[in-house]
Amino acid sequence: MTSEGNLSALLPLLVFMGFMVAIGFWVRRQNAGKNFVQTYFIGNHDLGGFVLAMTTVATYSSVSSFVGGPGMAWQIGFGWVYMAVVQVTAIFLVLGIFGKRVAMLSRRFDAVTVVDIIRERFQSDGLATLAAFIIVLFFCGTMTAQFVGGAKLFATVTGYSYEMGLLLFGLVVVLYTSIGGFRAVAITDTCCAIMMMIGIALLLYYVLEAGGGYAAIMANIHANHPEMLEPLSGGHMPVGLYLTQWILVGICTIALPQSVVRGISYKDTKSLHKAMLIGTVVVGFMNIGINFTGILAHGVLTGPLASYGGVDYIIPKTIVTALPPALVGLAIIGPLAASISTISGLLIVASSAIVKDVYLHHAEKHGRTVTGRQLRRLSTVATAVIGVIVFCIAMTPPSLIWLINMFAFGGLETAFFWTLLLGLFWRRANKLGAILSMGGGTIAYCLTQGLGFKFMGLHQITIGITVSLAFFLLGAYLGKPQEERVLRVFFPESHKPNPEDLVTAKEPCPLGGDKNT
Amino acid sequence: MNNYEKYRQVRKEAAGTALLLLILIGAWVAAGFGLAGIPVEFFHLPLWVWTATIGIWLFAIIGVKILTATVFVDMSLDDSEEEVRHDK
Repeated sequence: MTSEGNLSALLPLLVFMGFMVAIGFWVRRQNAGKNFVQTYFIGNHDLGGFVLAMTTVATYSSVSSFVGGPGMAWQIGFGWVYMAVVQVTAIFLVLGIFGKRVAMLSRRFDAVTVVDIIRERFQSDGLATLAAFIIVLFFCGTMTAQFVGGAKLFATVTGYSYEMGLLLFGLVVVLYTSIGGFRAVAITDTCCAIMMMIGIALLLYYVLEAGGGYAAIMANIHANHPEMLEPLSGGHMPVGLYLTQWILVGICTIALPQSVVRGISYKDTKSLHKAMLIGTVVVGFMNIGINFTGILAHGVLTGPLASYGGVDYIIPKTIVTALPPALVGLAIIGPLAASISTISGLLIVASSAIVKDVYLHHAEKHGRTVTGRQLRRLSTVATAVIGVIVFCIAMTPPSLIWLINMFAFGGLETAFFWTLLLGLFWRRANKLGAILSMGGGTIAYCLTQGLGFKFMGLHQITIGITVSLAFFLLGAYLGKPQEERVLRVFFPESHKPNPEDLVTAKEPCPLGGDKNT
Repeated sequence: MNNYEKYRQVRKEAAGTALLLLILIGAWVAAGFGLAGIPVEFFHLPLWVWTATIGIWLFAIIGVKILTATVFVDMSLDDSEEEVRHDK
């Protein structure tokens, strides 16, 4: 570790990190005495519209959105912003399609995770275990990418070592997530999203100032990089890339478990409607704002890409070059906030997959009682252990971080897209279809990724999602239909009640409920 | 609203959301590739850059506002209640 860093850049970051940990402890105190599982893993169905929007956006927006993405925009031009804008659909789609259905179903049988819902829908412990395994596996990949990306940014901007960056925010994020659970994650995510927006505004202002103003920067781009003003960017942005990005970071993101689980967490439908609107405003501001700033950085960084060390270093170098030293620390809080908010969001879902979906379910099935105290200790330890494992992997960083990130993104979408979409909206969807789809699709995706095989040059998500659908349909038509008692719970709209049968009291859930400790 | 009505409504809302997505994809193609050939500049940038980025963002915001105000309905998330109300 080096001690020759910029202390003034480190101080604002330390204050911010300290604040995050304080939120974790505060939430832990607030939650004392409440139902542990509901509170720790889902925040007790208590999120309002603003916090729901911010936590969904912050978990969705990773460090790649703030470092690699705008670096690519610097290289490619406005075609990259055109591609990035597809992400304005991400929040309203997941909340609009799954938000209410997942919220209502989770209340019917006290589900607190996406795996709970899959288990109940398909009545399969094997499928639930597979889903939990896929979540933990791919989340570890995504979290590693976030740790490495954040630590590299920290080292470049502050001058302190990579290891120190990793240690600092790695410890902080594991600490507040393991202590405070989902509610701490949601509140800190909100702070992170606000800091991301402030960081973008700050960077944009100083990039314009350092580049001699908007008109001068644009004149430079017109004169030296005219291809940056075309949607296809002189061949750098093929139509196929637009297509796969619509699938990878647009449409299929509705099935990301870390996004869907937020549908369980809000308190009422008014909050959901508000979150759809706020989320669309914020995700658009972030994606357009940071990528636009990346292009305008041509006014600050005028050399060839190789002289800056690659696209991942464009934003860090821009921060160091354009901002006054006193504000550098404030400016990197935004991108680092993107990193820690994604890690915390994934960490809590990965922890719930192990403790709630596998351990607790197994214990209940075998008639073992797990006390709230044991569960609390186990959840905290599981969250911390996952965080430490990922932290250790990140200590020797693998190369091609953004590729790992995209690989994990595509893997999760392949595994969960049809299982959730068809499982929640199609009566014919059955256990065999879901198992074949999740297992077969994921294997096809991983194999084609590993072999580097592409169809018509498109990203392997297109193969994964197509194979996954084919397997689902095959299983649905060859396998046994799901039991009627399950379908009655999941599809009440298919069973019009007789007027004389209507009751105003709460109907008991045929699958049971109130099972959580 | 009873459960039958609620879940029918939720299905309708999901379909409305999917329809908004399709409209947005159409608008995105038209606003970007569709206008890319027009040699008009506004504030130092080709027209397509404004329409396909900030234009699509504003379009999405307005679309979501209309969707939640007209298709989405306030309801209890617990089983079987009576009240129905659109967002104002």
